Amino acid sequence: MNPASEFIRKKFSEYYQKKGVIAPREIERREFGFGNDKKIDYRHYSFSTANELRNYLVNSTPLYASFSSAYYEFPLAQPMAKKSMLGADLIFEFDAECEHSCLTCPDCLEKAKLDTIKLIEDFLIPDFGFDKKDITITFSGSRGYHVYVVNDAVKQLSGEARRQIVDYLQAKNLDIEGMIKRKGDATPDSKGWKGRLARAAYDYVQNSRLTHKGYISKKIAEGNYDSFKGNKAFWLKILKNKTVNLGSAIDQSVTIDISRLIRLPSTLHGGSSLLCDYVKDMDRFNPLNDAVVFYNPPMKIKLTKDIPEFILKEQTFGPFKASQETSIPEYAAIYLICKEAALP
Amino acid sequence: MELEDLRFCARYPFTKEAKGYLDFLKLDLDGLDDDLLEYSSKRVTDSLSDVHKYVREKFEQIKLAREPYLMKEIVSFPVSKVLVALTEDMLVKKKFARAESQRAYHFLQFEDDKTLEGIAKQLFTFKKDGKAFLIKFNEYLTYPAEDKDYSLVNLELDEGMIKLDKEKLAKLISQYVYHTTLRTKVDKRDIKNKMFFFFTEELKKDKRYVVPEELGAVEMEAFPPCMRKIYRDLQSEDKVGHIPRFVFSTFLGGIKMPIEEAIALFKEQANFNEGKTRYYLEHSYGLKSNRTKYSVPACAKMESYGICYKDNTCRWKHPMTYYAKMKRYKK
Repeated sequence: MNPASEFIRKKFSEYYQKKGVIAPREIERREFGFGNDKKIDYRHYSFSTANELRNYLVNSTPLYASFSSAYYEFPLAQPMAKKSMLGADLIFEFDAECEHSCLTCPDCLEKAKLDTIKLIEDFLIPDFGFDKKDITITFSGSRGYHVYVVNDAVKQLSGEARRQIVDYLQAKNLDIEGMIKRKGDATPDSKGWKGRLARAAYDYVQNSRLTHKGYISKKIAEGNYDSFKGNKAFWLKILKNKTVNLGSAIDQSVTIDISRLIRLPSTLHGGSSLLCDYVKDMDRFNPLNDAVVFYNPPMKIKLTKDIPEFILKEQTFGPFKASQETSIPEYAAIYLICKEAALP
Repeated sequence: MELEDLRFCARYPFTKEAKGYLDFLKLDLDGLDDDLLEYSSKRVTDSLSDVHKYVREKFEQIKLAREPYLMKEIVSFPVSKVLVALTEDMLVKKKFARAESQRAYHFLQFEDDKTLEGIAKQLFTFKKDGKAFLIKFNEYLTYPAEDKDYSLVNLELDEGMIKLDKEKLAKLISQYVYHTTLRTKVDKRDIKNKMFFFFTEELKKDKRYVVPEELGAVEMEAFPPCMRKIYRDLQSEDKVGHIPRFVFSTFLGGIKMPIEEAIALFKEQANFNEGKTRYYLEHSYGLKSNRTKYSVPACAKMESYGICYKDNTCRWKHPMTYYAKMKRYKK
C-alpha cells in the first residue's frame, strides 16, 4: 500500500476509534463490502452489532465501506442465491454530474440536492403516500445524496416493481396520447401523471403568447385537448421539469438492483474524506461544511497535479500547481490526498 | 358441488372455491391417474402452441361441459404447473404462465361486477371509490404487468393508492395468475410419481417450446447495437455494471455461444476473475443454481434499464429476433 493510503487509513482509523459508527437497521441481516483500490474489493461480510462493525473499521480500516439495501437470512453465504433474501429497502441515488473541471462543485451538489427534495416532496409523499418518518436522506460523502425508504410496503418489491417506480419518476413510457384522448380524463385536478400533464399544459398556455390562450386553458382545465395538440417531443419538453432526474443507468440501478451494495452511512469516503452523513435538515445542509470531519491544524503537503480553486468549510483554497508544497488545514490536506492530488 | 359452482372453479382454478374442491378430492400427486397427467400435459402443449385458440376453446368447452370434464379442468391446473416447473425452462414457464393469465382475463370479461369483485377480494385488499377500486401501489406492483397501459406511470396514483376501473382490476387478477404460476416451485425429490418426469421430458422434446429456429454458429456481426455496445465496453477496462453483464450473459446463452468462448469476452475487464465469470455465465445459461434458464430482456426492458442503443437497423422488439433476422439476412 502506498504511503498516501497508509496515511489516510491511519486518519480514518483514528476517526472511527473516536466517533464510532451508526449501525444500519437490522445490521445482522445485512451484507457488507469494503474496498481500498476500488469501491468494493471484497464483499459477503456480516456483523452482528455496531461495536463489531466499529472494531472492524478501526482495525482493518478500508477506505470505502458499503452495505446491502437487502436483508438476508444468511448474509455471509455465497453465491448470492444462497443468502436467501428477505426483502430490501427502497433506495434512490442522486449524483452530481459535474462537467466543470473542479474538485467539488457547489452548484452541481446544489442541483443534486434539489432533485432529492423534488423526489421526496413531489413524489414519495404525495403520490406514493410515504410518511416523512419512513424517509432517510444521507449525503454520499462524494457527489450526491441517497434517499432511503424504510417501510414494510417496499420491502418485498421485486426488481421489476422497482423498475416501474423508476419509470414513474421519470415519466418513462408515459402514454401521453392515451391520457389526452378521452375528454375529461386528464385535468389539473387529476392524480399522478395525468394531473402533472394537465398542469404542465395549462401553465404552458398561460405563459404563452397564444391568441386564444384563455379559451385553450379553459378547455385544458376541463380535460379537453382538441385545441392543444403537439407531438411527443413537445409534450416531453413541457414535462421535463416535472420529472425526477435520476441520472445515469448506473444511478438508476441502485434502485432496481436489490443485490447492490451502497455507501454505509456514518463512514468516511475514501475518495474525498467526507462523511457519508445522515441529513436531518436538507435545506440547511451544506456538504462542503457539514460533512467535513477532520481538523484545523496546518499540515504540509506536496501537490501531485494542478488543482483549481476549491471551497471547504467556507474557506477557499488554491489554485495549486503540481509539485508545489504548501501548508493548509488538515481537513483540506486529507481531502486533496484522498483526491489523489497531493502526498503527505 | 353444484354444476355451476364446478364451472366457476374450472374457469378460475386459482380461487379459494377451486382450492376447496381440490381439498375435497384429496388430490395426491403420487397417486394421480395417468390420463389426468396426460390431460394436464395436453393443457400445457395446447396453451403453448396457440394461446388464442387455447383460450377460445376452453371458454366454449367449459360453458357446455359436465362434471367429469370440469373436474379434469380443475385438477389439471395445479398438475400442469408442476409439469411446467419441472421443465426448468424459463421460456416454457413464461409462455405457460402467460397463457393461463390470458385465459383468466378472457373469462373475466364476461363476468358481472359482483363476481369480478368477489374474485378480486380473495386476492387483494382494496377499497371502493364509486365505481373505481383503490389498491395500494405495493400490492399492485407485486404482480407487475409489462403492457404499457397497466404500468404504474400510466395509472392514477395518489397517497399510495392506485385507482383501477373494472377492466384494469380484471387485468390485475390475470397478472396475479401470471406471476403465481411463474413462481411455482417444485422440489424434484418430492415427486415420487415417475410419470411426471416422463411427461416433462415429452414437453422438453417438443420443439415448439424451445428456440424457434436453429441459430447455428455464433456471428458477432449479427449482434444488435445494444449487445455490440456492451461487448465493446467489456473490451475496455471501464467497469461494466451488473445489469449489462447479466443481460449480455443471457444473450450469449441465447445464441448458444460455447461457455469457454463467452468467458474470453470478459477477459479484458480490469477486475476479470475466471472462476467468478464462469460461475456467472453458468448461472445465466441456466446451468447452475436452480438451473433456471434466463431469457434475454425485450427491447422495452433494455430501454428501461438504460442500455438500449437503438439505431436505424433496429426494426424488431427483441435483441434475439434482431440477431436471428440479421444472421439470416447476412447469409
